[in-house]
Amino acid sequence: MADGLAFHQAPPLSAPLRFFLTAPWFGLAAAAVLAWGGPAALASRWTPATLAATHLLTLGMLSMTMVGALIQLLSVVAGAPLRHPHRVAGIVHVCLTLGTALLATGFLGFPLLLTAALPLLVTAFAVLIVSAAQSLWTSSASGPTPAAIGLSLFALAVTVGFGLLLGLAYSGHLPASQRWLADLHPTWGMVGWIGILAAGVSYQVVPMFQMTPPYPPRLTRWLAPGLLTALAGLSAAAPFAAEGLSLPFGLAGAAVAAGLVLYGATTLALQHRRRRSRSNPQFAFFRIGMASLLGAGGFWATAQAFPNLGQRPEYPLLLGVLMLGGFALSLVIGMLYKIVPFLVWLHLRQRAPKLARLLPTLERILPEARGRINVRAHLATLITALGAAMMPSLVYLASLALAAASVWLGISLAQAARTLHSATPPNAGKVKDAGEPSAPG
Amino acid sequence: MHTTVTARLTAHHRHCDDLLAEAERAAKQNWERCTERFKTFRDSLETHLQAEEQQLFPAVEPVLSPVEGPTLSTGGPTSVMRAEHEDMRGLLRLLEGSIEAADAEGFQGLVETLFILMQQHNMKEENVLYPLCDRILQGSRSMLADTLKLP
Ligand SMILES: [Fe+2]
Ligand SMILES: [Fe+2]
Repeated sequence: MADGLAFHQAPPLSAPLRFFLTAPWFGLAAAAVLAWGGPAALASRWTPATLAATHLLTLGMLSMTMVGALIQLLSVVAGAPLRHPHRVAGIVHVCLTLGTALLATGFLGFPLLLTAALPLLVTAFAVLIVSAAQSLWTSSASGPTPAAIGLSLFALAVTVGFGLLLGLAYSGHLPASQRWLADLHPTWGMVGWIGILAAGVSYQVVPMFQMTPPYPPRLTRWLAPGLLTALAGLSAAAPFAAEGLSLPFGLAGAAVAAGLVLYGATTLALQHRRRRSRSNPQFAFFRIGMASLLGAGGFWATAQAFPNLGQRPEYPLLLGVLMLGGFALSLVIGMLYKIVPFLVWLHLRQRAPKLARLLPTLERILPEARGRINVRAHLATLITALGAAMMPSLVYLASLALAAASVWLGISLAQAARTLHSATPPNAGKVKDAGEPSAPG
Repeated sequence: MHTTVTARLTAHHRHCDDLLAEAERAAKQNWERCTERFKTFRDSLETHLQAEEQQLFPAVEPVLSPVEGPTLSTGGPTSVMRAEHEDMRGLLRLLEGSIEAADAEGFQGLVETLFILMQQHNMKEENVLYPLCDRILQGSRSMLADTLKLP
């Protein structure tokens, strides 16, 4: 009976926190790269500055946060904590941080650094995928959330595989790859890794923390496997589409878009029926995320109906801003504003059980007002970034907004983490050694 | 076919959530109603915690943490749950203080903290612990789920 009941071994605080505290600064780096690239960088999504900024955001900010959240969530939703949380978090964090920085620098004109980044990133994700899969496998918990986490990890493996091929081609170790391969890499990353994980986590987080009715069981059961099947179909059809047979590719693409829109529309409908009156920054970020997802779906459909639109260089940039900035980043930032103060609070409590009366509230650890300001900074970033996709000279404004929003987030989270030290009572070490608070017997 | 621990206690979690949300909503407009709703919530939550601590956990602890024994379990999953119950009780006491002092702002900050603590606690119970309890109880053909003392 020893399986699947190990959530009492919640991961040590530093395991998820190091990822959360690092993530915002990659947003700042992305802003700097975009400003450095200037309007010319937005000519297409293949320019060095766009590639570097995109990966700083998707790896450094999104994946960084999602990995930290995953480490925390595995024990809560699946009763399956990582077996060696310290070691896994350490390896993944160092490799992901270094690998992302090197990759971005490599894109900016240092192919040698790009080559060096590849083994680091592959190591980071391989260690994460293997150890998370191991915990999920031994867990006795079943249900749509653990299943979605497993499928998203599979999609991550595919994304990394495509990325590795593209990276080797980019740095000249492989012949230049097909265009369709370069398209599949971001699709698997956005829809498979980020989209499926977001959906799986939403099944739990939205009903419980926003007090909405539960998601319909039919949706939670079929959405993640359906999206993954559609992605597989899309990948199989891609080489044929490149040769002119575009119907299967279009159908699979429509299935992907329909799945994402279904998730977004259902979430918004549920949020409309929530039983808690109070709004908070996380809720606002979630709404922006879902609205962007619907916007991206609508935009994609429009481009299918009017192929001229789909061929314009602005189209992938706009779709990218909606999916990456509007959907994924909004969810991730909103989550950070809830999870970081709570982890800090939990840690303070564990460290000083006898002093529970002196514990600060979550509001004291990270005031909601800071989150509300971040909502506005994030909206400003989104609007200016959408503008810059159509009018490249706006890129300076967009990078300024992104820089401001990222610095604000970074400082907010760092201040929340600092509560750990300022609130430490002098004898905290002794209290900790005494172990968990004694259970009433 | 009798009911399951998961079904009964999950439904009661939602019931407690509703009461707390009502108290929170009333805090802005009607302090008297807020006080009244809070007390109903507090009593419901206390009943819930006691049903777990006094009925459910002792029934499964011999299987979950056989080494430590049913009452002295340290480090097992139920001991984490018991510790979090104590955290909730600590917050309840602070909330009572803010009710007495008619401190609406302090009340709302504490409600948010309690709410997050409750939800992550409930998530662990509903996803992992309750299904596990059901499996253990099914093995021993226990009817405990039907006799849980909940209003
Ligand atoms: Fe409990
Ligand atoms: Fe409970």
